[in-house]
Amino acid sequence: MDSDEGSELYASDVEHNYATNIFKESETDGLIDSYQPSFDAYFTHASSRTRTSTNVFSQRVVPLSPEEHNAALARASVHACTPQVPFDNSSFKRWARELDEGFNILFYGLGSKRGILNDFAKHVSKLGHVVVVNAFHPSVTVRDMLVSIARVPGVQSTSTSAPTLERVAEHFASSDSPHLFLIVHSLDRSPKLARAISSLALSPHIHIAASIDRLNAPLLFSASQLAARKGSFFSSDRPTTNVGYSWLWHDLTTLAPYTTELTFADRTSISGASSSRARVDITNPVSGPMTETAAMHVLAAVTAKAKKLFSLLAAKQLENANSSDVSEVNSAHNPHDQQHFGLTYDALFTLARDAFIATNDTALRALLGEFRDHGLVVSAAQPGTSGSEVLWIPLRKERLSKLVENLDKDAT
Amino acid sequence: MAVDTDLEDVNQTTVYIPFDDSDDVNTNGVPPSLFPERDFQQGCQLRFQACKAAWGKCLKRMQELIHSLHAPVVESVVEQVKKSYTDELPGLPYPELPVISVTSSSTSSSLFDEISFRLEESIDELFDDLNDHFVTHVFPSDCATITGTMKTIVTGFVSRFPTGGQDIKRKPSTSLAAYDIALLEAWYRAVCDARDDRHHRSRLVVVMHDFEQLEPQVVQDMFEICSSHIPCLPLVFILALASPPSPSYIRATYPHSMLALLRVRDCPFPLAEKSLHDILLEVDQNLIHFLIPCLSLDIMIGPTTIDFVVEFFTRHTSSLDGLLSVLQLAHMKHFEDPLSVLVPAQALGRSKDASKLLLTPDAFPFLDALFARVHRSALIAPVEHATSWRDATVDLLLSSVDTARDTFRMRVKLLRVAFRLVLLVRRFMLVHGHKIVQSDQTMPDLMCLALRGRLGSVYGHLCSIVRNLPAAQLEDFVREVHDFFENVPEDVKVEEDEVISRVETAYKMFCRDTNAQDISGPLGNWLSDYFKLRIVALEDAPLWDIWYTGSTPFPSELINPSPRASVLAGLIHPQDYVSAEQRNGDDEDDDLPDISILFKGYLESAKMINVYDWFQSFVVFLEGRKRRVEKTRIPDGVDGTSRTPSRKKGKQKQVEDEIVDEDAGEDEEEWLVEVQARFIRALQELDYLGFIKHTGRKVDHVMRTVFDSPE
Repeated sequence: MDSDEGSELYASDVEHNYATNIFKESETDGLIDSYQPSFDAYFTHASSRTRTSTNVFSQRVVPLSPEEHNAALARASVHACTPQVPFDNSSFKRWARELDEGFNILFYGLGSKRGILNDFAKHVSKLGHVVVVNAFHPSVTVRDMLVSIARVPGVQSTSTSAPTLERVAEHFASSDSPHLFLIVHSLDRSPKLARAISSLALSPHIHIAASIDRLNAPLLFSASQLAARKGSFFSSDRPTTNVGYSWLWHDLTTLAPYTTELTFADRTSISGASSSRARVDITNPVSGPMTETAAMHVLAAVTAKAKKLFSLLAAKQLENANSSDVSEVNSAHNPHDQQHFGLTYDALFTLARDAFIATNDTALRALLGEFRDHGLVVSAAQPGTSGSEVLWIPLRKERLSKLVENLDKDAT
Repeated sequence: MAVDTDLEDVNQTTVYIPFDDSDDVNTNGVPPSLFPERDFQQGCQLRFQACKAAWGKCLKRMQELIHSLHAPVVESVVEQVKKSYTDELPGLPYPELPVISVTSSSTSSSLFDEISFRLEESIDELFDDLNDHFVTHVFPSDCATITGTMKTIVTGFVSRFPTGGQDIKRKPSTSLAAYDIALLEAWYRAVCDARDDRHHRSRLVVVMHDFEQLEPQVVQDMFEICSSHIPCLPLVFILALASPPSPSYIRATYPHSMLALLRVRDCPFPLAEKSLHDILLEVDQNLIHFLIPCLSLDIMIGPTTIDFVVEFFTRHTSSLDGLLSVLQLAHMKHFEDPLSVLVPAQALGRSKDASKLLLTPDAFPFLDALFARVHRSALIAPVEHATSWRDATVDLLLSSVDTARDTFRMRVKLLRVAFRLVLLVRRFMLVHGHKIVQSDQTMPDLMCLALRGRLGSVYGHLCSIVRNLPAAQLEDFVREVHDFFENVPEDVKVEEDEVISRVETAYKMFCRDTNAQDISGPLGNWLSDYFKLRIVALEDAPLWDIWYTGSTPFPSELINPSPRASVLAGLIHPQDYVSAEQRNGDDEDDDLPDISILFKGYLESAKMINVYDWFQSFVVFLEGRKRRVEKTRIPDGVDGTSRTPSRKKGKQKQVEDEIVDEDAGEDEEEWLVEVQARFIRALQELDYLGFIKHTGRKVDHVMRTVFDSPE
């Protein structure tokens, strides 16, 4: 290999470059612990090539079903550290006063603020009508909010459709109208809602307390909207035509997990929480992982022979999994790639013939067809050997054994 | 409760909670005191009222000022609207669409309320000068497409009855489309018929807010459509611009072909016309105008708040609305202090009521604190209070507060006069070309110095210039100073008779043709003495903190927060948010929640993160923590309840009992599922907060969005 001085010349040599980068990084870490501005850090990162492993998460880790996920999180609450930030309800009166003084309140900071804001909503319901909006809900619309506001007596005039924003603003501008408190969770999730709220926020009888979570949420508001104030200057009886927010910002760091806010995220995908894909795809249920219940449904519908075939494959797969588990105790947190425990088609055919399940190739394929269509049995060409097919059930070990137990119980 | 279940139900997008006015407990809405150790029950309520009153006064004064600032702009806009379509250049090939651009960045958004109010009112009937134009407002959010824009404009007008009144319903089958400008034309004809307005005097005014945010393509189409209808449809556009008049945004953005259709008139707001420094001076005029009379209001704003106002105004939003919010917050903060209940005279009612109020047991801490303050100050002569503190009554106490109030007010008044004189002298010297040290100091700088009583170097220097003034300028100078003192209020004249008589003397000496040197020398000294006496820090006055916010820091994070820093701090140092009792770990890492563990890896990684690698590091971290926890548990955990597998290498593990091994295997499986679930949750939480970008460039890689270093 080249000498150290020559390293600059071989910048294209990725392997080498990587080594020098690592070296440089460790050097800077050791020497300078001074502050590096984020833009410097950005350019440092952008100028160097990222070296990551070739492992692919979605291939190596089997996604959890919602039930498994929830059960695991329930167990995890024992181990995982969930710090509690002390909070005292005496702030409610202070906030209520700030709202009364003509400001709206925006809460920021890490952690779900939903619990506290819901309590605040109950607190202010003694001062006026309250509408709580879950803006993190993927299907929330401005209309939903307006329909809820229409339930305030007097807002809904004659028509049955939801009132317009103008109508609402007009109603609450009159001096004898009741106070309306709008509590908006995660306002930054729905820019449309934020825009709609901007035309209500300066109405003297509408008070808004909202929370934001996103790092860049303040970019939602323009400078003039932020600075706008409630109430008109020269005559108080006319509704103002301005839009704006008039926020007072409060840091409400709770460190609470965003469990409710992420209810609609797809737990099986790493991009499940990103806003463009936040909605769980209901139209295509096959996309999710195979669940125990789904497997039970499929199995209930097939013939006894097919069931037998399934338990045969499952038993073999479990056997393989158990034997490999013992030998791989130390690397046990490697994800269980089920394919390793699968059976080749030939082996399965031999077993099936021995058990009088299928006597020929056509019969076996017919039996397997039903399972394959429902994703209960997956096949792939075995790596290494040419052409031979490997079959396996895409279920975790413990899920599979439970399934087999149930199956056996049913059979007896 | 039904409300509770509704609130918890995540499938509800909105929840309505009806107004619950059944119980009267806790409805007064007064927040608890921040200083319960020296407050009393009714104090909060009284302070609350006092605050409202004080702020009301302040707001009123401020509004007058803003109104007067707006007046010329409003006037000229109204004038332009009136003149449109009548005052046109002869010989144009086609009529031009009148457009008035108003630069409004440094003002309050209510400017347009004012304009539209003026345009729609009809009070000048006497002079046959009706201002009964129609005004509609257009916001960028309505204008994503040309259809939407036209619809907003057309419905903005036609939703009104031609004869007045609102909310007109049209049958879709019998009416033109809502975005069709022909509908507007028909409506306008109806209006003119209804009003018997043969000359078509009413204009259709469209106010376009935040004009820079509108899509240029859409605006171009819109102007194109409107300009083809203008002779019979007198549309006038008012554009609210945030950018300065030059370089012009309109001219820079739109092509010449479109600009040729328009006749653009600028009505810049006076503030934005000048450079930044001038803006400051202008605002200072306001501030001076405002703060100085504000002294005669209930409370006085201290230098730290003024500093903040100036910084906020110059650096963040140059909007008068923002200024008002800052002042309101300063008021609200000031009235948190229990003593501030004494701000207005007779805050506690007549003296009898006051003593009744204060002689209740729960008011004793307040009385105590007040008494201590009065005692420490020089309000009662020392000899006297050595013996007489025993018979101090509430009345006596309150009357000494009254004395303090009068002293403070007088002091402020005198300070104000002296400061204005300093400004006068300074301006005089600048006009006459004298070199002044630190002439770049802005008005708020000087104000803050004066309030802190540190104006010494400035007036010292000015007085030394006075001493050396040439004869010709001296005469003007003396006259100006003399006139200045002529115009001060009577009570100030009484207080300042010494310096006034001295100026008088100097003035008279001029008439007797005395040598200029003989006048300027003593005059400089007299003025210097006067400034030294009057420009002193207000903190020296007894009980000053009741009426003066002083150097208490302004709660700037309420309007100028740093949410990003807050989120990062929460991720990196979650322990700092937890109360001290809860913190138990000697090792900080053991207390980290999952999201913080993941964020650690995030900070250490490069631009792209392989999710699998990230997962592995998360697993390793949790394994390590688990092992540490087990190690500490083993001494007291010998009862065998701990069934978590030990993960030692070596053969002895394998020869262990089968059952234990199976248990271990099952636990292992559960543990892995758990770790995976926690990882996904933390990952999605980071995603939710906006730390991750899914680029799709590499399979199962995510991109960092934050590159801040942890410290």
